[in-house]
Amino acid sequence: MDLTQITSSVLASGPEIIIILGACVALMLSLVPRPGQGALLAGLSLVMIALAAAMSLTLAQNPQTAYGGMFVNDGFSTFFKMLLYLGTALTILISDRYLGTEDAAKGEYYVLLLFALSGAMIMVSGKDLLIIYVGLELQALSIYVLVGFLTTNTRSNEAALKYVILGAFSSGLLLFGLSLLYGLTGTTQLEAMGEALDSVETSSPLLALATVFLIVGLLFKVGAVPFHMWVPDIYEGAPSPVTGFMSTVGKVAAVAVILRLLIQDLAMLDPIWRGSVEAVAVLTLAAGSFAALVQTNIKRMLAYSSIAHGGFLLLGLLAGGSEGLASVMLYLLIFTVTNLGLFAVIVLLNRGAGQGENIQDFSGLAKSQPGVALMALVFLLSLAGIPPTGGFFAKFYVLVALVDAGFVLLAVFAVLLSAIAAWFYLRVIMLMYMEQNDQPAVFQVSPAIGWALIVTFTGTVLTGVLPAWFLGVSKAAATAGLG
Amino acid sequence: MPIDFLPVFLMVAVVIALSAFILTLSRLIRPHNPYPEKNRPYECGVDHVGEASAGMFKVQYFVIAILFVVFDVETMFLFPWAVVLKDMGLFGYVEMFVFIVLLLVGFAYAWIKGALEWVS
Amino acid sequence: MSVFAFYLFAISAITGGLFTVISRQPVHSVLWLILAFLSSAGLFVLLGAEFVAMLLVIVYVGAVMVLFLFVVMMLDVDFAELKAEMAKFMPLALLIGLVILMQLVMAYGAWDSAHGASELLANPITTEHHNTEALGLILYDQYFLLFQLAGLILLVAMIGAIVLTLRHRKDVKRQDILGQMFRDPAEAMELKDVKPGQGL
Repeated sequence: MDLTQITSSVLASGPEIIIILGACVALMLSLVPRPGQGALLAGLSLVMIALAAAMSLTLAQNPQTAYGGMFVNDGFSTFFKMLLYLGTALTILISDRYLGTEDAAKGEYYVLLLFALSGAMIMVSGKDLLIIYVGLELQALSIYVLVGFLTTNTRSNEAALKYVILGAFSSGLLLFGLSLLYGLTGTTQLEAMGEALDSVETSSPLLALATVFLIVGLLFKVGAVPFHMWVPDIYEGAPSPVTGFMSTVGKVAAVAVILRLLIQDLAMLDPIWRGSVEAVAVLTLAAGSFAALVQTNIKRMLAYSSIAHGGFLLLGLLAGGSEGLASVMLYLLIFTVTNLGLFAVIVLLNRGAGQGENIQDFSGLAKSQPGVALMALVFLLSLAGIPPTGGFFAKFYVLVALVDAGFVLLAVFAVLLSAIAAWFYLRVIMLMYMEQNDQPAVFQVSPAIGWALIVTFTGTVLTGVLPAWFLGVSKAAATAGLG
Repeated sequence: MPIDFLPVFLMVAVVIALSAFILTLSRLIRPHNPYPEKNRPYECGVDHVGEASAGMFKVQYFVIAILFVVFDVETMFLFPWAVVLKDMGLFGYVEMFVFIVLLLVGFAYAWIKGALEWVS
Repeated sequence: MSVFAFYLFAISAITGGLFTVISRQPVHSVLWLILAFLSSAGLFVLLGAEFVAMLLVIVYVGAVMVLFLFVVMMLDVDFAELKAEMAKFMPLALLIGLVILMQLVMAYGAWDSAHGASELLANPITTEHHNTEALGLILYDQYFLLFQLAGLILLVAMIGAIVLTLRHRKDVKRQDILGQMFRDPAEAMELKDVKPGQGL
């Protein structure tokens, strides 16, 4: 590669370089012990994310591929990167308080968060299977360590061990599928692979095997049904901000890869996986919705709820086309904002050492902390899909895309299961507003969490009041991705 | 070409054959009557108690081994780079510089954090 | 000649793999695994990829297997109990393995690469570059982004290992160099005016 190509490539990956530089600087700063180190590192991370976001927006003006076609900056990847920035910034805002309560404040937390963000960004921009895989591993490795960050807490250790085994196994399956695809086409670049696969019949057993392994590996990352077994344990044991990060940013990155592979470049594989993914999507929705009904731990309940939302995302994938693509992207935006808002409330309720995570701790919240209870009400309504919050329109557009593509039965299933799922969200709302509690949770809302709550609350309400504008943005990004 | 490695293969084969020969010969010639006291692990003459580790795991061993794996992989990246550096020119130099700096950051972190010290 | 060598290495690799699983002592398992890796290194040499063979020996056997041995020797694992538990699931595991094997055989039987694949796949063994040089020429030129990302993953692995495992014992006195350097003189010393003949 000659010099002009190299400089343009390095500029194109500027946001990632900014985040990585920020992480290295934060690592060095974390070695100097001084009071207020946590706030300094959090502030530094937020500044770096803001810079990277600004650079991403300027780069979005002229889409380009870099590094010899392996890395791409188009509207699709920019949209997802904005989601990733938002999710990580919100996680950083709610982390400081949690680490203080758990007495586990270490500077490396922010370093690892930034590395996870950079890994996710690389995954989302990758146009080559190897880049996607390496980005996935970078993100996964950082999150393994973050899940086990509370080293003295056995639940955290157990969650980290389970996540490592699950992640390593699913990466192995994914890599096997990727290597079979490489064997079939002779290239790892997605565009060349798409062209080469046009001449292979979809009934070829080797292609079917490769696709199955690829899909299974990716479905593990999203938490779809036969592969969701350890997800609730992992979500329950991990530190709450990390759970919020995994359920939003992790899902965003995984779904971005799935969309890029299955709808964009390898769309000719469609007949192979359609039937099984339909079954998986419905089962995922069902399993998530039913299992959450009986949970007593709020993080476990949210784990099953995020599995159910993952099922909805798979339905949007099945709808396909630019409409399905846009609806999935909008759903991810609304889900990120709402879920992290709810996790901010959970962090506020946390009293250290696993206390404050029971659903009963929500009871009586409306009397003791009316503002926070109102925000939690909106978040829960949004997750349940009740208008006029954003969550309703997220599900609405996915269902519209499904019906337009002709999958009416799937849409009916989705509506029924969402109605059943709405019950466990409403249960928490009832606890907050109608239960009496002698010792309700009392807490001070720190400025950082206050900002996080304001941003997520505004986001949830805005997407519910002005959904059309957000849908337009998603549609533009989706057509940029498909084109 | 793979055939160039024939001397290496022959050497490995001879080594394996020689060790197998020596061990088999001594097994055939030497007397063989084990009894329990002879088979116990040596503990300076006293009776040993419990397993070798007894559940006490010195974490420094693990940290040193992990750091060794990481720096070993880094060293292996240096080998092909050294062979092609002349063709790569300045660009090759700068990219390896960036790589080493990234790992230098990690090294500085490990050093200052005290991961390289042996606390007994 | 190379056919004989291939079968030798292949049988040795399979034996190593098999005995890794069925061996009763954990240390023996690791040693059989080392045999499997060494045989794979031999297979790589036969393919003309001597650098990859050395990579296997130096990194895998030399570093990763040593790590395995540390963990296996240091942890007090009741191996017999683990084996008994494994035996419970053996029939199901064998069934799944058999099914996947059949699928792979079916897929191999109907192997047809895409039309463009043979042109896209350049002949890997050339006589003008030896394996190390060939790897270097593409890794540091075309795929240098992957190379830097690999460096990043190594960095995260280092940080992760230290964050998760490092515990400082409270009773051992360590020198805190940065704490000493950033010590604030205003807090470290206190001047007291002492009259002659009187103590503090």
